Amino acid sequence: MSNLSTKRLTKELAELQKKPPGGVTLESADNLSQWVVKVEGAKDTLYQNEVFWLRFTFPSNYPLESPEVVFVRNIPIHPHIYSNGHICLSILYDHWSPALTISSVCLSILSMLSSCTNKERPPDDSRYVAHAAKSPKQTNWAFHDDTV
Amino acid sequence: MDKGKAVDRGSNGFAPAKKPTLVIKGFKNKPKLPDDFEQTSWQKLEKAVRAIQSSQRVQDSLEELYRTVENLCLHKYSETTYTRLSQEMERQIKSVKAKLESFPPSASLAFLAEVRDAWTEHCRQMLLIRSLFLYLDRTYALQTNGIHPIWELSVDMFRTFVLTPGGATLVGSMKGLLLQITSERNGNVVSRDLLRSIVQALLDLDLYDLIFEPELLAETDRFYTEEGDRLTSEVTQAPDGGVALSHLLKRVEQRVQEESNRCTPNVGYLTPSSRRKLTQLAEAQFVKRNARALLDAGFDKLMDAKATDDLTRLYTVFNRIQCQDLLRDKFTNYTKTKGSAIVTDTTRDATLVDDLLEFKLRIDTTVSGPFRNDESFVHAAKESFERFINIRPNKPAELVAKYIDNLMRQGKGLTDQEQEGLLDRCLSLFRFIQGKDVFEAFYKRDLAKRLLLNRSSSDDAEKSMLMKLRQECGSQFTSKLEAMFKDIELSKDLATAFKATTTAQTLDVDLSVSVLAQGVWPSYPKMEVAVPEALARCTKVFADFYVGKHKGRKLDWQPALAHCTLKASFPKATKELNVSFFQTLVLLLFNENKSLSFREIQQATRLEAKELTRVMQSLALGKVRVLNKSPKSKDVSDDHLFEVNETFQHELFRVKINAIQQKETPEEQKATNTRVFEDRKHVVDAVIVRIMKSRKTLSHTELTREVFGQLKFPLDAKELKKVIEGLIDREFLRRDDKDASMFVYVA
Amino acid sequence: MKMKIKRWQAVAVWKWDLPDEDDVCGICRNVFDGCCPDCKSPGDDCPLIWGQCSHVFHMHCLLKWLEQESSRGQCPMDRRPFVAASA
Repeated sequence: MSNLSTKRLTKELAELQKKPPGGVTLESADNLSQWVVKVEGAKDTLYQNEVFWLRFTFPSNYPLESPEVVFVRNIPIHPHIYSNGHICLSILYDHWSPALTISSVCLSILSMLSSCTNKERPPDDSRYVAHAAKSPKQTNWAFHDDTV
Repeated sequence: MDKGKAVDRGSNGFAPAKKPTLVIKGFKNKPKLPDDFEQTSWQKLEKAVRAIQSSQRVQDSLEELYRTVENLCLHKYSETTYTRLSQEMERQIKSVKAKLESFPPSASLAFLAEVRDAWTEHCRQMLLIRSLFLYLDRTYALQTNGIHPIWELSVDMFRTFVLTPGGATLVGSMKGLLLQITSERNGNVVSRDLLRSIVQALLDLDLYDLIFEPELLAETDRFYTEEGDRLTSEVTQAPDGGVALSHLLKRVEQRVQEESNRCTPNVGYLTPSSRRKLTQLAEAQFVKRNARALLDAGFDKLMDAKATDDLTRLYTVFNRIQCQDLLRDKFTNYTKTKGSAIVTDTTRDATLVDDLLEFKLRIDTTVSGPFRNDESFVHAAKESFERFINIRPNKPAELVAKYIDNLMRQGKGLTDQEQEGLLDRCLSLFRFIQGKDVFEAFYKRDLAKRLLLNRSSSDDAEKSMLMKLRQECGSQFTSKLEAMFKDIELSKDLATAFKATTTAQTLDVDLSVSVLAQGVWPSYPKMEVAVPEALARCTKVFADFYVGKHKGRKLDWQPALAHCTLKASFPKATKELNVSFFQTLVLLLFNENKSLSFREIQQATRLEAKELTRVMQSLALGKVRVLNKSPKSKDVSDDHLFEVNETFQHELFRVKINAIQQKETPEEQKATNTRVFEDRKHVVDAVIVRIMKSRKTLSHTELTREVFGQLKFPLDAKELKKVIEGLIDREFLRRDDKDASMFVYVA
Repeated sequence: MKMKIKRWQAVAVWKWDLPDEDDVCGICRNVFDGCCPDCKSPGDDCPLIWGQCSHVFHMHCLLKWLEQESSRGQCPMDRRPFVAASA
């Protein structure tokens, strides 16, 4: 791991432990390559009182390259979230920027949940899940609907 | 060739000669010995033996006597002759016995002389007799089992009849010998020749090792036990045990030499084989039995007195009696006690480093001299220094740093080599100190001042010190120092470039600026100060120039570190004054005002009161007084008045009055320490988190042990507890629900 | 008496001219007054770079980002093409 990724992850870890954003809790970070973060569905949304877990897997040149982010254990039902946990969200792929942090990624995902009006799986869920690679980063995503 | 010759010989014409005959016939009469052959032969020999025994002339020639023995032997009279001879010897030895026993039993010198004479005479006779009977000795005595050769036979007889173990003669002789030895040990002159002969007799008679030496050792033991106890009690009871111990050590050394001399061939009279036993006894009874008491009474005094010779004796003796451990413990104890006295005496801080350097030199020379660089003593010294120097946390580190600063500022009239050596010695002290961070902080602060105020005595010395520090503290520390040197270099270039600009030439002040990188230099408290318009313009011009060269930067002025050269015209003299920037601001006020109160000066400069007090004291109450103060008291109050000293004069043209800038203020001292302690807290935090992260749960004791094992500076348990509490508050750790003495890492 | 400054040896600490001194680099999240994770000492050896968009980064960090194909030469903050402000 580079100096950049080690030092930055150490800083992010400390910040997540000290003052995590609302609805976000670091659940485990046994090393600097894979963390699990707990997110709670916001009040007055379809996901109120639901709890989900995001697994972050960091490449060695994080934050220049995006982390792999997937839901694990309990997969929210959402038009942009596949039943294998993969998330269709541009900032995790083509629109990744090193200015993004684990906190801000979690918040983006929470806001994606919050703005949902109809709990349903993506229409192509079964087809995608049957053929998808293990990591969502290997998928060629087509982002057409940023508003849902 | 050979073949040809053989052929020639056969044909030379000589007829073969007739063979002669030789007939051997037996004796008609068998040769026969005269009947009295043995009788007459022995009579001849007996006459000769008795003549030898009574020291008279032997009438027959030795040649003839020898042949007589040979003839007897050849005619098978060996056994008879041997028996007859041994009877003659026994008769003679018995007469010697009778003669010696006729002396009244005594251990007198006269008796010893008699014994010696008897043995010498016996040897003389037996040598002659043996040479007469040599043939018998060789062909019979040496060849026959169960009988002694003639010489051994005579020795055996002498031992059996004269110097009989347990007999009065031997007892008397040994007693006499021991009396003489004791007398010599008591300082009297004895007849060493006589004693040597007696000892030689004992050796020849095989009586030395088994009979005499045990007695000798017992007597020696008794003698030295008594003397050792007497001298030891002198040491333990003396008001100054050092002198008495010194006396005792010299005495042991002398005794060892004497015993050694007594056992030296030709000089002394005892055998070399007794030497080690005797010297060991002397050392053991003098020193070993009382070793601890002797050290307790005198060791510290010898150390205090730097008694190199006595310490050398002490080490030599203790080494030989295998009590180095006792001596080393005493030495360790001495070093620690003296060392902690130096370190903990806060009234001695001004000379602490000098005192420690002197003490270290003394301990080092003692180890390398008297203690012969004995590894265990080298180690003991090191361990002791490490212990006592850290009894008082932080201060020694600070003082060593300041001592070095002082050395670096003024050459002190030392040569480069001397200075180099002194620096090395300072570092050797520094090496023992835990908590090098304190040293580093003060060293850096002092270096900063040397560089900014141009006070370094030599660039080379600075560079060489930097190398040494890199070895001691690692490059993480020195890379910051190197960056400081680099800033100074860059600032010089910058000053040259600035002076070349047209705007700079319009200024009537020759301004150069040391531009420092943040985070590299020590941090300085921000000091607000009112700068006159003209000067503010100068800084503005420079700042514009600088930012033009370095986009995206800005400059934070540090007036406390600035200094100026002033041209000052007094009524009686014109001088150049080297002053701090704060002093400058104050002095410039007097261009417009004849007299100003402290309050007025403070309003004009907006300097903080404490700082301004120091500035005013330096201008009006120091060695060089540019201003006069009224009242003339040392303290400074708001309404005290200052005015120019119209009569100012000084023998020099350039006068330095900015020493206060170099001097560390109490606030600075405190700030430097505080900063170090703050940094330490972070280090302790990080260490605990690192340990707990890998161990997950640990008891308080285990955690404490691990933390102390990893820290490079002293930390007391109370402090540690505070840090742990802090980490619990911040939810890095929690106490175990069941066992409050266990900590659990919170991921 | 007349006092006149002949020479003035001033001292200044240079800092990055930033609106907020506690600002961190968006890439490494170290404060700008510190240096990027690969440098030892801040200052000349680890300079900052300003974009025309007025965003600022440790130069070393930004270069590492721009080397990434995925960066498409964009500023990490606003995803517009990064153009350095002229020096």
